[in-house]
Amino acid sequence: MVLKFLDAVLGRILVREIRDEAIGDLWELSYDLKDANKSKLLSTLIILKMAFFMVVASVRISLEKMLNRKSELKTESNSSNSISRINLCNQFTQKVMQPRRKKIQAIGKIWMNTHLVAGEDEFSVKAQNLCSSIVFSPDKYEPQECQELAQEFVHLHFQCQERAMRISIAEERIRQARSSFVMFFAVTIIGSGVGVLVAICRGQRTEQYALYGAGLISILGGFATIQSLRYAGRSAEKLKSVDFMPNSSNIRLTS
Amino acid sequence: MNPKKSPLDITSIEEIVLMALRRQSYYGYELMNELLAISGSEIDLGPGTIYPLLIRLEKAGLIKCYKVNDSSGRRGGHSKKNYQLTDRGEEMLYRKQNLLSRVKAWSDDKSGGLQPSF
Repeated sequence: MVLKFLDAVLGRILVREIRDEAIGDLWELSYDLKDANKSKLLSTLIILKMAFFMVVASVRISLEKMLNRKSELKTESNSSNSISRINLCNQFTQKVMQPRRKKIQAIGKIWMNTHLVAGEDEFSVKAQNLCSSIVFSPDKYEPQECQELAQEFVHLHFQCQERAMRISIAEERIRQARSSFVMFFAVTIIGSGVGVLVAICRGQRTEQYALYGAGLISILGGFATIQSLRYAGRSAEKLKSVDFMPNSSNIRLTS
Repeated sequence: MNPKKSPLDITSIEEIVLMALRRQSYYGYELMNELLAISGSEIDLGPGTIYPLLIRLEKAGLIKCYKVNDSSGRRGGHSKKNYQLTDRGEEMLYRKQNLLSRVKAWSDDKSGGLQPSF
């Protein structure tokens, strides 16, 4: 029964990469313990310990993922000469350098794309102004100016991507907070339950143990709630500081 | 993330896991038990260590995994991931061990004649 409960709980809180494998390993461990004729109590404790470390593994994987994303983001924003930035810049410059009719078509598409994806936000307005200034004064710009305009557009594009990334990190943190809250609660309840059971089995001061168990549940449950609220609060703050989240990956320079 | 470009980027525990996977492919729980058994309980890698480590090595391209369905019925219907060493993993392991053996030979040689690059 404990195993089925853990299967359901871990199925919700473990990261996708290890979920199936880890829960399967837990089942296998329980069969191995049965084969080795371990007592039920000892088996339960070993399984709970294993489940706890699986959650630790899950948290570590999520943290590593988050750190990787952050460092990628940092590298991308720090290097104005990154390959993707240069490519996008070159593509845009080429479009701007095309003959008038083709240029209007190409920039019109970018404008539409940007408008559809970003709506009426800051990025969209800036990008649209940029595009329309090129469309309505097609031959006004020298190659050097085109390059500068392209750089500005690309800068806006990457700014947008950075914000989308920050949002996904914040969402990940909220998910983590929810998961850790559920796990704290589950482990606390199961742990206290096992403690009370041990006390009942031994027939010693049952009421006192039950009282301790209830106290422990309340204290740790309260702690978990505070932690969870703190995480959620911080994440909400971060989400507030992000103005918009267009799906910038959809912005493509089409000819 | 540590991209594991140099042999020195591989930690001791990662090296042990790579050596185990060079021998044969294992899944997480099996690998934990096997290492515990062969080391006389000295290499006690819990799930908190082994799963992130396997994911890290897989992302670095040193190992690869394939899913196997639960045929024994002992896994509650959950599949397992069998990990095996890739060519890159094998090469990296070889380079690391070669490097260590060269340094060891140099360190053991008290005469001073042997250079690390022999």
